[in-house]
Amino acid sequence: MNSTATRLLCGLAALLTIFILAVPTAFAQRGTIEGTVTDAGTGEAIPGANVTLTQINRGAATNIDGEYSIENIPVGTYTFQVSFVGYQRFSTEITIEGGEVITQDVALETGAVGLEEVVVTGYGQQQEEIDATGSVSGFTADEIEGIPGQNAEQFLAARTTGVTVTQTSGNPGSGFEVNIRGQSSITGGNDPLYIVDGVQMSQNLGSENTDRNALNAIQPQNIESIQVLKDAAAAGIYGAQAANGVVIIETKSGRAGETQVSVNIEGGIRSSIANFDNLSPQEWANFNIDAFNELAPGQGEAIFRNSFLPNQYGLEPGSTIDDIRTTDWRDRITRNGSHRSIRLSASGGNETTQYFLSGGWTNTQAGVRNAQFETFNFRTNVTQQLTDNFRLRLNAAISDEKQTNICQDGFFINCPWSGIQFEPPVTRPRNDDGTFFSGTTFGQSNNQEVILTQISSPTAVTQIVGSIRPRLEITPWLALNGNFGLDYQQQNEKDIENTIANPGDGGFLDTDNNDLTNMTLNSTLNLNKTFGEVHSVNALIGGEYRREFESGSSFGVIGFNQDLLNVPDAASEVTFFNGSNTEFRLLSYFQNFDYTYDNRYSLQLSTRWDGTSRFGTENQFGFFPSVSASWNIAREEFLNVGFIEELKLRGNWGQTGNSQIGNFPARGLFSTGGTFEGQVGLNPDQLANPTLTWEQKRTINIGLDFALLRNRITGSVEVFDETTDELLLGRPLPTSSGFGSIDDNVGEVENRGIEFQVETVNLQTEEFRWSTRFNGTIISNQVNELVGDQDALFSGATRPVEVGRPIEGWKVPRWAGVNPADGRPMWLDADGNITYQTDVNDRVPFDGAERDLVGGFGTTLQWQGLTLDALFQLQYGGTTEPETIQFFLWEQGPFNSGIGMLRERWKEPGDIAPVPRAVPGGVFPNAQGFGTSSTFHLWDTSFLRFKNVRLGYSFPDQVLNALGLSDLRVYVSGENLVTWSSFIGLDPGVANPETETSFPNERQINFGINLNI
Amino acid sequence: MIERLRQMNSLVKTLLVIAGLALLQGCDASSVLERTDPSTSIPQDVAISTEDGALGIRAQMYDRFHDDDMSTEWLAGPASLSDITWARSTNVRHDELNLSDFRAGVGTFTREELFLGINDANLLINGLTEEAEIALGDRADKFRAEALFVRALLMHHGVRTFGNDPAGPESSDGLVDPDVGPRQGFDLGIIIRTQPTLGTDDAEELPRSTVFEVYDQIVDDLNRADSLFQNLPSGVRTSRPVFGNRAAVQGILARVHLYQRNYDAAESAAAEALDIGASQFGADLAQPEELGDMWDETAGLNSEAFFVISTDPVTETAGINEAISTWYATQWLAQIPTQKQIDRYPDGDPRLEEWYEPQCFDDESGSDLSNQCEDINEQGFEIQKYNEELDNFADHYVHVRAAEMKLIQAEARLNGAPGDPAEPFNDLREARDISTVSNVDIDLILEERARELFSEGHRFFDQKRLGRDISKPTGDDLASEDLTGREDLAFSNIRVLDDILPSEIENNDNLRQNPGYRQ
Repeated sequence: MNSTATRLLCGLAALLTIFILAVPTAFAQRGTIEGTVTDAGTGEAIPGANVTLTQINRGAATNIDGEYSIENIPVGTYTFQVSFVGYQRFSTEITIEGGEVITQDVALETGAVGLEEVVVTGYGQQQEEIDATGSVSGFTADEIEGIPGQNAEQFLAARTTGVTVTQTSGNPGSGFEVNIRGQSSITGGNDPLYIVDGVQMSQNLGSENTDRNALNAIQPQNIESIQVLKDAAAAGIYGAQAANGVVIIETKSGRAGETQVSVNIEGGIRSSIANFDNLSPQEWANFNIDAFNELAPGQGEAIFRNSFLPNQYGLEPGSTIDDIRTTDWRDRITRNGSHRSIRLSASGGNETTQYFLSGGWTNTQAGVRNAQFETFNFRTNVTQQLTDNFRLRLNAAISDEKQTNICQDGFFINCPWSGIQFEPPVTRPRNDDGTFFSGTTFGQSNNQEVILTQISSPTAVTQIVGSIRPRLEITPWLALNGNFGLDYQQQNEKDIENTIANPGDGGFLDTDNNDLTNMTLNSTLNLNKTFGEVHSVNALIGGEYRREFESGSSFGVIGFNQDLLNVPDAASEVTFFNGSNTEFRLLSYFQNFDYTYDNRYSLQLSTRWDGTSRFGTENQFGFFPSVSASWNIAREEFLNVGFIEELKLRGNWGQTGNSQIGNFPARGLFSTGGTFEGQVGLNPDQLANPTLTWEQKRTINIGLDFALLRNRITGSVEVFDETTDELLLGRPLPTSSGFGSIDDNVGEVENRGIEFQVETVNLQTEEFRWSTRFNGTIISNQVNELVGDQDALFSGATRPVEVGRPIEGWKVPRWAGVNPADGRPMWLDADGNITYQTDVNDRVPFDGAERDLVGGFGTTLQWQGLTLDALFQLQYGGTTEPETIQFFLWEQGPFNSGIGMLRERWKEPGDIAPVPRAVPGGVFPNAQGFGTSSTFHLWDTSFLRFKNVRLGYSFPDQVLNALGLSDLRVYVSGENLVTWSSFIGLDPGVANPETETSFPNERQINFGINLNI
Repeated sequence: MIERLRQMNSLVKTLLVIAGLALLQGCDASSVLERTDPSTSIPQDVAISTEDGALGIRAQMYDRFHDDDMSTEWLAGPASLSDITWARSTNVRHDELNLSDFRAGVGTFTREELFLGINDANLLINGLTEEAEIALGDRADKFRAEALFVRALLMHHGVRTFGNDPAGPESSDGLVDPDVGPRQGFDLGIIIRTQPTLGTDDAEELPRSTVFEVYDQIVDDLNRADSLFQNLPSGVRTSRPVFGNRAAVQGILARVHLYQRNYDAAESAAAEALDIGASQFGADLAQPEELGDMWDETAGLNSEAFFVISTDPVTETAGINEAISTWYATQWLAQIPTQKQIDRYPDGDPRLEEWYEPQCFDDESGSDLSNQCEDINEQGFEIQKYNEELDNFADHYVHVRAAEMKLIQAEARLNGAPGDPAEPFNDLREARDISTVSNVDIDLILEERARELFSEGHRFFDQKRLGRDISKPTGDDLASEDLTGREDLAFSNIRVLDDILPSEIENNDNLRQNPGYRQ
């Protein structure tokens, strides 16, 4: 650990000590709760029922006589819950007084458990899940507690149906591509809208160095719930921003009672899971010799030893590969990484004021040298009951994060993961005297050792996410809610190259500063009333204003000519500077009306009018309606079947919009271009389109929720059909006009799919519980229409967008194998004949890069205090054309480490080989290069990954009592443990359609301890 | 009491919340939404109706030449396409041009930029509002003349890249075209566009005009520019050849007439260019001791230039990956002069010493690449015309200069224009401190052009306009026996004309592909 981190850690530990000492009241007064759990119908004792106090995570299981006891509970008010399979969950508020023993007997009613959860459906509306009509997936704090992970999005992967989570990089702290129910936009964004404590988070702060995750400021352990709103009924209230789904995150609130202090300390190790197979030094030599033999038959070895090695690498003429010190470049860039975190939270309060405070520090050193992520998080959530009917909530999070990056995504010579593939085994990081070796493929400045030690590119982000939420209860059933939220992100990025890394410029520094202010203001009037015991009404009207303003500036300086100081003051020359700002605004009015009759029939209508500054003056406002209904069939008399506890049919239709298309696409603009003779140029770069408006998505969703066999089997199945039209596409203009295209609302894309999830409780006894869960989503995607009568966009590309095919469908020539006679590559032409020279007309369509099936399955075993949870992630049916693999299998020559597959190259007539013969530079005198896009280069990215596992142990009450703690748990968890895949590249988990050696995921094993005082 | 205060306090807050809600609902919605503006763009109507807008459009028109497609492709591309330079073994920049790969040409990337520049020019020629014209005063005509000059320059580069060249009245079909093959008799040039695109209605799908129509338009533009420049009050004339001017107009006119084989006109335009250049800018043939400074930006603009794109290293660089300086000298050393090119210089020719350097060293990363450069020419010379003296990979780009005028005069006179062809030819040789000749022939002129004007966008086009095979380095033309080079590209080969990208043809039903390429 470096010294700065040590000091910070010490500081934090000191703070922690002070904090614990400063809250002695936490030890003062304790109470006990005990009682018996019985079946309400028969009066029989229920053994093995779960009894919990949710705020402090304390609990017990009932014994054979149905009795339980939880001792040593800090004074306070808690939510007391009892659950057991086949029974409705029992929940009540309980106040523990000091030194008191409270008896709470519970009689459980038979019925469903799963469907009685409360779901949030936007703008503070809460609804019992049993009445919900839309498609929502979610998590509660309890579930999140058991999931290892450092990012909120990680919870969604393989655990929620309909959500495809692709980690864009294995670099700690980097982003995710989250796709809810497929890709519905070709040129617009496909990101869902994230709302944290009522604040609509911005994902627009771009980074030069990394792919940052906008939710880094939200510490996962502080999350109370995550809800994913998927269809128009659930998300429709968010109108023009809802087409890609909505993810609603609420953080924890304080509870009245004694201060609860919770401490979590975690540490672990990390290593790369990259699948990197390259030729051994001898194999590499043979490969090159074969190529030189092609040039001068029989002379290959001589050319290799006497000309190639000395000329390319400055090695002694005549050397054989055995004489040369070789390097395993993968070893040079990787290391044993680590992960450490400390988190501290306190919550408590009285009847009028409740608070939840939290602070944390995380430091993750990646399994690749020089990549590190460190973050400090602080959160204050306070609820103040000002009068009997007026409440104010303040939620504020401050975070400071720093990422010391390496170039991580892209086929660039200065990115270690692709850079090492350019490096043959005969180059080395350093000379014998410790200086850097300059004979690496792209010279000393691109020697990976120089890149990892003499270049640094840190990204520092300070983020504040906060909201003030007043609530005035006008009557018990009518409330006025306000939400004033701010998401502020300030980012500083540097790229520093010292004089060794950049001798030509005498050192170099690029600095980027960006800040983004994103404000959400809304007010709603919420009504919630039940008439005559069976007519339940839930309604709201509201208005909202959102404004996002981003400004940025950057500059570069060179000429440091020393390596002691690297600030702009120490530079001698400015190389560039620029700066700009941008903004959008959104103004909306919305209403929602829910009606439920007797918990059996529900109807929901919602509408929203959205106006945004992004669109043309003639089409600035749009209308987004949705309608939905549900029917609880199991509550009907005629379906009084013993084995069906719940059966609910839901259906809805709605329209949402996508406005992620940049801020000023509708205007006719002349933009700053270059400069000439001191005058800035104005570039006519956009023609006006005053009718431009958002992409519109119409969704039909039908779902069935069920609970069977005394709730041993619960789950749901949904089918959906989503059609997005008015797609924002560039309508091409003739090049001679001086414009490439004009943005227009044209085209249509359709996504159809099935989602299912099933959870089963396989075994439940007093001491043992075993459950399994499985979810999957099958999606197919098709382009129905493009611009006018146009049948393809980017028609010459290997991934054109064509009518009747998926957005990411491939179109490449068919690979016909290697000619066994002479080792040349062969393809099939349009007519199916062998050819050695393909062209654009020989391309044939192939299945898309999209994943056809995503899902996961997991299991949980609980025995006394032990819990084991395991999750497997499955992604099936995606393909990628990995540019690096394609290049390195083809461009044979000095700058190539040699992919392992080259071992299987054609060597002599008669060989049936997957890879053609070795030729200098990959150039065949009478055939096209092997690297030509073809079906050979489409690789399946399907994989099954043992995504994570966690084994935890909660110490029994006796131990807790002896230690004076209210909870003590230890755990060990693992992430990305094993991957099964046929993919040839580094990691199928980060593979995009045209993957470019993205930073592969890393395996992490953590040990942790949770302590509640 | 406290309770009452608390209640009042909350009452005030409640009222504030309600007021906020009411305010929100009552806002004038569209005005709230319209109050956003991009920070780096202005509306079209402002751009074309203000003085600052016109100045910005003009700067943009010239800035197009800073783009790598208009500098590296335009100036270095024709050298790579012929026998001047060859790719170093571990760099692939422009090797597709060296090899004349299918569909590889200097127009592939430049074509779009050419039309962007033509649209800028059209805005200045007839797109500004009266309001802007009034604000500009005399500068309105000056800008119009500059724009006509730039439009002509861009169109000429376009038509020589995509079309067969005109052959003058002596040829039966008026074209420099092969006797065989699909290019025979193919007379299409490029699209002529003379109106600015201000809305989608202006973006018509126009067909290509014939080579002859395009040349007529170019000559007409240059003549209009010339008379506008002549009539400008002296106060608004430019004093530096960084903007369009009469010397540049006459220089390009001389080049265009040479391509048209209109030799008398070429001769007189070249002479005119030399006269005006000397009087307006003091531009004249450099003497041997000035040759080094000619391409050294720290010593000022090229002393022979009639039109040069000045480049500010801070804001106008084409960048490390694409700048001509990094391709030739400072980083990538991608295109290295062939042994054949080095052999062109007689002993003691100061150009070899001043415009090349036997030092194949990657200044950016500190790697010695001389081994690889010595495969291309024995001493490992790199080209030094562009080597970022101003730093940040930036160089000025010269588009027309005095030496070319002397060579045009010689060629025009050789073909019947009045005067002794040896006279201008020897003027140049004397200025280069090499022996004079008494008889000039076309091969001597072509060799002198290769020695003098290499990497300024000429070599490939010189051979093409004369109907010659395109020379490629082969055998001894490269230093290493391991390098095979390439056979000459026959003049009849379809690749002598660059193809038009399929995507562009798709977007314009009236656009015809060049012969031999798939429509």
